[in-house]
Amino acid sequence: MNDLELLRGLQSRHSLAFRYLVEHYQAKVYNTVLAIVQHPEEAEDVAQEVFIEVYESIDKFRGEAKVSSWIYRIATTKALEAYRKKKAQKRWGGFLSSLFGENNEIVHDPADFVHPGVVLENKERASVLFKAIDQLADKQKVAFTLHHVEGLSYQEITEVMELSLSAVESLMFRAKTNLKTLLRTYYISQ
Amino acid sequence: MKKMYNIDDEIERTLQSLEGIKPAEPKPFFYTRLQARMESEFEAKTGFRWRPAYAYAALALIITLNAVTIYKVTHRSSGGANAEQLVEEYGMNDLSGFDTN
Repeated sequence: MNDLELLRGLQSRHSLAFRYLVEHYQAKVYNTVLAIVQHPEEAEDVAQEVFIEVYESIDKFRGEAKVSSWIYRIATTKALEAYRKKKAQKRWGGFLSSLFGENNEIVHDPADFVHPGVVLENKERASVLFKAIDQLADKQKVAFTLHHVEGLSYQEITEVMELSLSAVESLMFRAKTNLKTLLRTYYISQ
Repeated sequence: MKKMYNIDDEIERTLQSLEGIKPAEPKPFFYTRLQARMESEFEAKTGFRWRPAYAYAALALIITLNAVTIYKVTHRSSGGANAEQLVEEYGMNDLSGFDTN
């Protein structure tokens, strides 16, 4: 089904069109979200929310971008929202428990995230890398994830993030620089 | 002897560790779970829930409407009387404007 047929089907609420869309994009959405939230169960929840949002906002989509770009945009937005929410909860959880004198709950880092698709001999290194990616600013995190986890080209990333090519190049450069700094700190402490 | 390792090398190798990464897939039957969630959210929002009784009622209504229509169509009064009524109603008995030769 090409983009135009798919859009028409979605706009007339054809359940087959929606099913096709879900089955065609579920891995892309899940993979993107997983890299950002770094938690499989949460990624599944967020991925569902992405498709619900697609379903509910199809009438607002005017076909000004590719369907895939639009979906990636919703996926990265929702993943970042979930990530921020969780971070805020952890922060408050830690604060409240110390306020009320419980055993000072150390707001611990997420358990080592292991991405299931990483090549076996790279799994440990990838875990370290994902911890560093976790610390990146939102836009750098999105650009880096879309390129290195999803394999999108810089051009495709411009369409998802609605940025110029030079802006994406700049984000990628800053992401790499910051990751190197974070990794240096990590390896020195080893 | 302490093992010396090149930190820059480690950093570079870690940065490359996503090479060849395959996409993660959600657990099987993702669509089924999505559908279930959408249905329950819809129920929660509208308080409406499909029940077998509703389906039977809708079916009964459609059948009844069809039966009434079929009855009306097959028991229409004769065409001749209707044609005369139409002529009267629409004043079609004045043919002066037409060349009836």
